[in-house]
Amino acid sequence: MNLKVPDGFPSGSKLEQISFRPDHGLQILVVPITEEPVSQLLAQACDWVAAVGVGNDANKPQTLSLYGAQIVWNSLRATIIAPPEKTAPILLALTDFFLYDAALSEIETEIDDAWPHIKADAAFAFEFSERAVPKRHELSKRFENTVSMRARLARLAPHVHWLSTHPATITSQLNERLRERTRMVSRFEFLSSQLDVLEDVYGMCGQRVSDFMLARQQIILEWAIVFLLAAELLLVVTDLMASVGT
Amino acid sequence: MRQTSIDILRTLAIFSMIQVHFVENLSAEFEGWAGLSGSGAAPVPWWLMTGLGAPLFTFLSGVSYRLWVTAQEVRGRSDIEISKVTIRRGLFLFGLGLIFNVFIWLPEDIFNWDILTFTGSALIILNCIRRLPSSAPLALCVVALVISPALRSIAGYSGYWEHHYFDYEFTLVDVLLGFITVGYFPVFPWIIFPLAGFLASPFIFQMSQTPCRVQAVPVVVGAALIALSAIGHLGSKYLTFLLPLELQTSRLTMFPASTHYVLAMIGCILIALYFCHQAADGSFRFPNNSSVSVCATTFSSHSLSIYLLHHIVHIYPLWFYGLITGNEPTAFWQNAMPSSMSLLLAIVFCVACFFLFRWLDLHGKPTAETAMRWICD
Repeated sequence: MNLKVPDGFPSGSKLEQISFRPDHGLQILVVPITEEPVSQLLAQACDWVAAVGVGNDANKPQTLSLYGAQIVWNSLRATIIAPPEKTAPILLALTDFFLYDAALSEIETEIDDAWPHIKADAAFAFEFSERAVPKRHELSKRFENTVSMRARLARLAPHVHWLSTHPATITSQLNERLRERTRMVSRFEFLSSQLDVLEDVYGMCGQRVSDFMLARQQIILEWAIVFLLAAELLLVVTDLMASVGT
Repeated sequence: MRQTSIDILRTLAIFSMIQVHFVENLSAEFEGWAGLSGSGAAPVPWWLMTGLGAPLFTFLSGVSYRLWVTAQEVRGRSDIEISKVTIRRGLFLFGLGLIFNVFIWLPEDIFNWDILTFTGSALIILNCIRRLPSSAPLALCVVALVISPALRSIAGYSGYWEHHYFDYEFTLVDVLLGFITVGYFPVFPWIIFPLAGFLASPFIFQMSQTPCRVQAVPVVVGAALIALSAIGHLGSKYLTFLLPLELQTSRLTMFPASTHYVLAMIGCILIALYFCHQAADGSFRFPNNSSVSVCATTFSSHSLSIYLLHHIVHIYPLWFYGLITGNEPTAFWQNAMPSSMSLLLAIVFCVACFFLFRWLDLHGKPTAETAMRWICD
């Protein structure tokens, strides 16, 4: 989707909007250069990128220089200042990288949201009781979320650990540099170990809930039998007492 | 935290109980009703709230117990501690009920199985079932409902109720049968009321762990029970050939508590409590110092004391007057005055009670409830 290019950028520039998910997208400004001085454009690009994400360190603009191309980005905006023949592969590499980075960020956010519940839920991994029965749907939902996150992380693994192709191309080089700058591999490892904890807790919770519910069904049946036997015994005893009384 | 809706309904149960007891014990025979079972020569007047107090009171005891247990669990009180307090309270009420029978109804009626001994037993039973899945108390309710008429039939209920009151021999068999099925408030079927209250409590008061998604479930269940009661009533009236004579209870009787009486009362109470909770605890929340709240709280929080006191106040003068005039102590029982006079006395007693218990509260004086807490908690 092409948008209106901000003022001050040379003609031929174009602004694109890429949506990774409904609530998250990226604006990429492509500025093809031939002879112009880069420093002026770089300052302008930094200002434009910094205009979003105010007050958030993670959204401070970062710059990368590669084979005469300048790339300025944060998590919401990016600017490519490069000779016209290089803009297309750089745009492709950037889109590719941000797609996986957004997926990784999404898992990070979900894990951050899930973390506060783990302390309360850990108790259910050890023991599940009648009072906790109404919480089982919540626990089941969290287990499903954990499995979903693990699956998405597993699908990201090949892209995070992707080795550079030979001979090196601008796309592969840029991808590698961006992964280094955003510490993608480390983040992936952290997420993986955090998910291990969540999986352990909710896996055990699932096991406890399942065991408890099965036992509960049996207990209900046993109690129904006990009540019926007690009722029969009561009738017999009453009959006996009534006959003794007579 | 006190629930105004429970206080209001419990106050209604107390008013009903005071009115019925005063009128029954002072005027039933005088007016020719021959007991409030309604089988006398003259019909029981419409304004007498017969058959309402005890079911409402016992149902609310189940509701309150569930709320109390939840509050104790939130405070971190252990299961064992909750059980100990419950059992101590149950035994206290049971013992108090027996002592009360001796002093009010004279020693020969010690085992007439009145509401206090029943409430004590019900508390102990509730403690036993409180940790079970909800289906277990529900199953117990169904079993109790089904076997109660059969138990009455086997025990020969009518043999114990020839003069419209429970008349038993002082034998182990009669005492046990009275407790199980033929007394005033036997375990079967009266245990259904506290159990139903215990089961309904989370649905009505929307406790956090309630699995209920439809808020009006109590109303639907209540209406269904009333409908079932009506069907049962018609069935036992027109399909008499299906049932033996002892099991045919087409009337809504409290003594014995017929099956459709139990169903209809639970249905009505469920609906009443639901709407009362919606109004008094929800949209029209009364301030703590409002006259309705003060009145309801005063009566509700002293229900045990009022129960004991109202008997002393209207029964003891009868016994003493009987003795003074050279008759049997029970000579004027149900035969002392016209019903209008006894109703007036009941109203005067209620008003006096309010001021008495307000005064006791303000000055921190002991009551039966404080004694129970001091001994049991």
